[in-house]
Parts: sequence; C-alpha cells; structure tokens
Amino acid sequence: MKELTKIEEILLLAIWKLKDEAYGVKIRQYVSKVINKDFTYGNLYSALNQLERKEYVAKRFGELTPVRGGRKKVLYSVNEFGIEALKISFKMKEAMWEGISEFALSESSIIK
Amino acid sequence: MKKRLHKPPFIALLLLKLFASDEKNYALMGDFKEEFHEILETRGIFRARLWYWIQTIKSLPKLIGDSIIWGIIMLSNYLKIALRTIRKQKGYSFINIFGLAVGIASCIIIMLFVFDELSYDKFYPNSDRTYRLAVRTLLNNNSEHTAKSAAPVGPILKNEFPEVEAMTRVRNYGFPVFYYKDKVFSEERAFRVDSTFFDVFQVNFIKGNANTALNKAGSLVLTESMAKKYFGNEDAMGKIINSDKRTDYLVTGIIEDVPTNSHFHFDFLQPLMGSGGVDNPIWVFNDFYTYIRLREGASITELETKLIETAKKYIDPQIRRFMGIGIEDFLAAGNEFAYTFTPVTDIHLHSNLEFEIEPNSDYKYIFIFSTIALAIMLIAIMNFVNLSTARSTMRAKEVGIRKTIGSQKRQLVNQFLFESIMMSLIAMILSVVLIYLFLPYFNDLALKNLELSLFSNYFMIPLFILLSVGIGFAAGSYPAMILSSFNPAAVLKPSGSRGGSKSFMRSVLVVFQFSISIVLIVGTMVIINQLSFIQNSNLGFNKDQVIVVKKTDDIGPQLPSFKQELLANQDITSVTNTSELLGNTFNIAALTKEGAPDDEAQLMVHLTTDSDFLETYDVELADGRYFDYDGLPALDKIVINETAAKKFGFDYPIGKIVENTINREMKLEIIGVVKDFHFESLSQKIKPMFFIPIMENQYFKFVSVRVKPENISASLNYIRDTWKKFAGNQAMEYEFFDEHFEKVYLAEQRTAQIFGTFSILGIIIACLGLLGLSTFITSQRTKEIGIRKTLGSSISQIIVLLNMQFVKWIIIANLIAWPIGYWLMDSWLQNFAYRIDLSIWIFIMSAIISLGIALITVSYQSLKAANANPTESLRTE
Repeated sequence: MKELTKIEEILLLAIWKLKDEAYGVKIRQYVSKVINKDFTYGNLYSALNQLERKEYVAKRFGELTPVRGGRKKVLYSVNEFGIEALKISFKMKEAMWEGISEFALSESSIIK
Repeated sequence: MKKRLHKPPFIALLLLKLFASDEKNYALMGDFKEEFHEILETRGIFRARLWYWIQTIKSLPKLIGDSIIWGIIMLSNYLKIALRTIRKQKGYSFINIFGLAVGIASCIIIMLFVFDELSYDKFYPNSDRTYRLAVRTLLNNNSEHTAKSAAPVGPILKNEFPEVEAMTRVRNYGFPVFYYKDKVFSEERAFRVDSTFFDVFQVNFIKGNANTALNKAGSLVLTESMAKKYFGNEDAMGKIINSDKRTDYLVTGIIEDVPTNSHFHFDFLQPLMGSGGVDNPIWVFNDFYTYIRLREGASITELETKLIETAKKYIDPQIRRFMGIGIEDFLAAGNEFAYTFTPVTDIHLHSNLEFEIEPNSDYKYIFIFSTIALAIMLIAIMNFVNLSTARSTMRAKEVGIRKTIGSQKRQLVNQFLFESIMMSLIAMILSVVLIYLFLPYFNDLALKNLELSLFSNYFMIPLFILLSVGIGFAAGSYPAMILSSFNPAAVLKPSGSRGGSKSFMRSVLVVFQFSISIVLIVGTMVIINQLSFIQNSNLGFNKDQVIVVKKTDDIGPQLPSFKQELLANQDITSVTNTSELLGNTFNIAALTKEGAPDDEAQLMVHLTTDSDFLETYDVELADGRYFDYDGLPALDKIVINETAAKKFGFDYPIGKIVENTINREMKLEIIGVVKDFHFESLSQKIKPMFFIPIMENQYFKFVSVRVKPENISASLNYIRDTWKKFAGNQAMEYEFFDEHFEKVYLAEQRTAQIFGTFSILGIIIACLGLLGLSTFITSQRTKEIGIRKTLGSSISQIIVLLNMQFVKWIIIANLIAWPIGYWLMDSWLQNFAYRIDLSIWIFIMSAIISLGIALITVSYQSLKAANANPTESLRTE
C-alpha cells in the first residue's frame, strides 16, 4: 500500500470526522480551515476522484436541498482501505514524533 | 421569488459547466450553488458573486488539467474497443470500410476531374479581365455565332477604347511544314499573332523578351518542348527554321509549354505583321480570334454596346457595297449583328461557338458528374448507417451492460461516434490507395492528366482527415443515437426485445439507395442506347474503310500524280481530295435565288471537292450529276444537298441559278442534288450544303482513300510508300476516317463511359450494403426459420419468404426512380436533333436488372439460412 499524501490524509480525516455531513461544501470549508488557506473546488474534486479511484472512499447520493440548483449532494465515507491507510499513516507519524514535544521543537529553534 | 434574481454569474457558470464534466464531478455545480447561497445570505450578493468568480477561476486550471487526462484515458479506451469491434466482426467491418472507401475514392476522383475542368485558363495572370470577342449574326433566320471576328475590329478596340488595356489577334492559318537541318515536321499548333500577344497572355519566357520577341516579321517564338524537338540540347535562340521551303524564321523566344487546362494550345507563334489579310479592312470577314484585357473596373457590357455603335460607322459603307442597303435598314429588316465578349475562363465550359480553336467541354457535364459523386457518397454513407443500425442487435447486450455499470448516454454516443470515425479514417486511407491504383485508368477514360498530390499542398492531408471525420460523423451519428438509447432493462431480459427492430428507417434508406442506383442504371442504358443509335443509324454515307491522308496541300502540284499512283493499286478503289473533312466545321456562305433580294439569303455550309467525292464516301446522288472533269471544271457549277434544295424552295433544282451574296456577278448553276447525309454529329440537324468543284491549280489538305476491306495494312503501307515518293522526309499524317468521325461524339462517349463506370460502382456499393443487411436480417430470423422448417415449410418457401422483403423494397425503389430517371434522361436527350424515344422497355429492363442484382446478392444468405439444420438454429438458446 502506497503512503498517503498530506492532502489525502487531511481529506480522509475530514470525511471521517464530518460523518453524515461529508459532502463537497463542508469538506472544502473544513479543509480550508485546517490548512488555513482557500482550498479550491478544483483541487478538492481532483483529490476526491483520486481517493475514489484508489478505493479509499465510497460515495452515495444524499438529499436534495433547494439551494443546490437541482443537484443532489454526493456524500463521501471512508471505507476499510481508507481506514487501513490512515492507521498506517498514524503509526508512522507516532514513530517519527516519538520523544519530541512541541515545546522541545520551539526551544531548539530559538537556540539555533 | 426575490432569491431567484440572485443568480451566480452566468459566464463563470458556463465555464464551470464546460470543464467540469458531469460524469466525474456531478456534485460540483451543486456545491458551488450551495456555498454561493450561504455567502449570499450572510454577506450579500456582491460578495457572493465575487466569491463565485474567484473560486471558479482558481478551480479551473486543475479542472481543465484533469479533464484532459480523463479525455486521453477515455480516448484510448474508445480506441481499444473500436479496434476490438472491427476485428471481431471482420466481414461486417470489411463491407462497411470497403464500401465507404470505394465511395470516397469515386467521389474524390470525380472531384479532381471537376476541379480540373473548372481551372481552365485561370493560370494566366489577370485572366478574370481577359475576354475573347465573338460575333453574332442573324441573317434571314439563319443565325451564326462565331468565335472569329474581322481583322479591323482588334486595332479599333485598342485605339478607340481606353478601357481596353491590351489586345491581340490570333489566326490559325493552316499547318506549316518546318525544316531544320534533317528534321521535318508538319505542325498543327502554329498561330500568327500580334506583337502584343504577350501583353494579353502573360506566359513565362525561358529565353527572349516578351516585349520584343514578335516585333519583327520573320521572328518565331516556340515552346520548350518544341525547342527540344527541333534542336535537342542545342540552344534554340537565334537558330533559323524554314517554313514550307519558302520562308526562314528566326527563333526569338522560348516559352513554357501551355498547360493542359487551357482552351488554346500553341507550340509556335509567328507575327501577324505582313501576312495576308491582316490589313483587310472588311468588317464582316471573320477570320481572326480577338482577345482583349479590360482595364480594372471597366464594364464589359458597356464596351459591347459602345463597340457595336462604333462598328456601325465602319460597316455601313461596306454593307452598302455588298448588299445594297445600309446597316440600319439591314437591322430593321429583322437581321442582327452584334458583338459579344466571352470571359477567357468561361470558354472551356460555356462556349460552344462556331470555329472554336479546340473543341470545348460543357458545364452540363460538371453538373452530371458532381451529382454522380454526391449520389455515390450518399449510397456509401447510407450503407454505413444501415449496417450499423442493423448490427445493433449484436451490440444491444453490450449497451445494456455498459449502462448498468454506469455508462452515461453521452459516453456511449461518443464511443460509437469514435468507432465510426475510426472506420471512416481507415476507409480514407484505403481510398487513397484505390485512387492511386485507379486514377491512371480514369485518366485514359477522361483524357485527362489528373493527379492526387497529397504532399504538394500543406492543407491536403488535414483536409482529408477532416473529411473522414466529417463522413464518420455523418454516418455514425444516427446509429450512435439508436444504439445508445437502448433501455438496459429491456435488452438484458433473456427474451426481451433486442432493439434493431425499428426497421422503418432502414427500409427508407435501402429504398433510397436503390432509387439512386436505378436512376444510374436508367441513365447508363439511355446513354448507351442513344450512342449506339447514333453510331448505327444510317449516316447517308459510308464512313468505313476510308484512310485520310492529311496535309496533302504540302505536296502541291504533285497531288494529281499522287492520286493517280494510289489508284494504280488494286486494293484502292477511290481517292478524293477535299477542302475539309466531314465532321469538321465547314465554311459558310449566304446564297440567294437568282435576282432575289439579299434578305432572302440562306446561310449554307460549303465544301470543295474533286469529282470522286461521291464515290469515295458512297454518297448517293438524288438527281442530276456530280462534277466531272471531262471538260474543264467550271467554278460556276455547284451541287447542293436536299435540305438546301428545300431551303431554296425549288421543286426541280437542276439547272436553276443561284447567287452568292458577296459576288453576285457569278451565276451559279445547280447541276446536281445529293441525298441528305449526316456530315456532322447527329446532335445537329442536317444543314443546307453546297459543293464547289476543285479548280485545276487548287490543292487541298485532305486526301481520302477508299480501300478494300481485305489487306488494309498492306494498303496503308502502299499509301505510305507513295507519300514518301512525293513528300520525302515529311512523315505522312493519316487517320482512319471512322475514327476521325467518332470524335464528333467524343464528349458523349466520354460521358457514357464515365457515367457507366460510376453507375456500376454505385450499384456495387449498394449491393455490398444489401449483402451485409441480408446477413443480419436472416441471422435475426434464424429461430423463426428453424421453427418454420420443423413445422414443414419447404426450402423454397423459406427463400421466398426471406427474399420478399427485399423484393418489396426494390419495387418501391423502382417506382420512385422511374419518373426521376425519365425526367433527367429526357432533358439529356434534348441535346440531340436525332434521338431515341424513352421506351418503357428501358425502365422494365432496369427494374429487372436491379431486382436481379439484389436477389443474387441476398439469395446467398437466404439459401444458407433455409438450408440450415433446424436443430442447429433452435439449439442456439
């Protein structure tokens, strides 16, 4: 299994957290907040399509609200492969960060 | 309601729609809309629209990039599927591609022909402002429209009309014999022209100067290939060529050969200056071709009217002298005299005047051939449509499965369109091969030098690709719509309707195809019938077994001895010397009864012959006698034909006196009447004609020799040897008269052959389609046939059943095609003064032929299906 890219990781986590609210608008807003800059729809759907192709996420149609111009929501959910990939990613991070606290990181940068 | 007004910016919306493909980004537009609304509610319309724009623009690069990658993936997928389908159904694909290729090849070949015909004389610079003068006269209801005009008109045009930028006169003055050292040739394409010739026809000089080349009498300009013929690798400039052992000419210029697509080909140009007749002041003696170039912006119709006004001044005294009345009286008597200008680029297709320099073509043939090209292309495209829709049964399941696993209709349409474009691309490549293979044959047929030069133009190959995409699109869109619209639930049900049963469209197409084919069959049969009618109808003389020796005037006074020596051979029965050859254009004179006023004059063609003309050509004498030379020949004795006798209104013409209006002093006595014979094409009514005897010191350029049917080649050798005795080095030019006379029908014959060839091609393509169609239709009915057989149907019953459908189509097609064919061919036959009637048999024959061809085509499949073992066919499911 290939390693997740940063943006894939963020997206998967966003979908997992948003649960039944995991559709385009909400995912984009969430990710924009996390990365602290505007995450465009172009990038969003390009990445979502990748995740879909790699079978990390599944999609289903959601409800039709009047403000959506006649288009149903498309809801995403993380499937087993996605969860598996997130777990691997988490373990790797854990190993990488072991013994390093945020405080230590900022201390050392001051000393330098 | 108010919220409705708060719409997202239209252009941004459009951009998104364009690049965010639905099948991949269905939710995207909805998301945009939702967030737009959110911002609208909280921060107002301006912010919302701004956000929409910014978001769109920022998203676009990624969306475009993705859709390109996606497109490539889909395209390679389409390609894979298309190749797989083509390979899987080889027979079907072959019929489809081959039919299309033949159609495209025929179409392109005809188009090459048409473009060549349309390109005549356009290569001359300023050809759009170059015109040839023609003279139209109407004298006592005898009209004449001639390409030749009189000597003084040209100079007046140049000197008195400022809108005439350049002018040249051209005269063909017979066939000179040129000598250079040991080389002797008789030349047919030599012309005398004004020194200003190259101002009008701006040809390219290889050597010499256009402004001075024809300035002096005795100079000669020749073409590159003629320079090679006489001088080989020597430099032709400054060399001396002797003409007719009389005059020396100095080569002062070498020009490029005249391209084939010109109405006027010349090898040699000599100055008119100092030659006889050039200063002839008579305005009604038409013996020159006059060409002008108009100044830019000037009107040619104005020039026509101005010219006739000026001309009247000059003609008036002359016409008074000849006819005793002035020009105004002449015109008031119902006669006409007018000048017309023909654009030089129109001459080849639109001009059919008397005394054309070379026989021209006719724009009608352009229409006929373009129509055939279109018809063949239509037949081929319909094949494609028909086969593809019929085949839909085969692919209904594929479509059903594709749809269930999520294919969009648009994707399916794209896939099928892509397939047909692929096929038409392959067909295009095949057709290029076919064109290279068959263009030489077509060139022989059409007497052309057409080439397909794919690489000479940078736009040729893109054009071909575009063309095949267009054809693929045209042929593929209907089947694609049909195929992609199948309802998966219906086609996937085991016993469900398999689609493709909508055969109405298919029937219409087959009927239409065969209607076109039947019109082509009718056309071919009518043309062949008319031509054989013309060729086998009694011409009133015998055109066979006559050998014509040409340019016999070159041996001059030795001509009588040449004749005598020929007659010494026992295989030669008769020899005659004539001023013209039957089938060529004759000179015209205006004759009246003795003492009758000019306004009763009749225009008649005339031929000068010796006493043996009737015998050599087996022309029958109706009354009186022909010329004999027991006494001295007399200029005042003439023989006329029956039509002329009728025109004069003589009950008994022998011994009657008539007069030529330009020389009334000479009384012409009619000593004989010959039976009417067709000396021109049968498209012409027999014209009134009179014969003049050859005088003692006259030598004309054609000697016709009647030989016995046995030993023709020995006779020919004898004639050649005899010629050599008298003419020395000058090669004998000869022709079998029947071959010469065929040439008057050259255009018709050419049309017949081309028409026939392409009709056959059209029918072959239609049959290919029918073959494919019958294969699918019978395969669709396999089970039905199996059941019928088990229930006791005989093989012949089943064949009749299977063929009935096709027979019905062909009969309907016949009913549609007959009136169209009748109308078309009847209007073609109007061109002939002597023509066949369109008998019902032609139509019945074409019905039988079309039915026969169709039945042979479909019967193979029907037979196979009828003979199949029912257990086999019933086991299939």
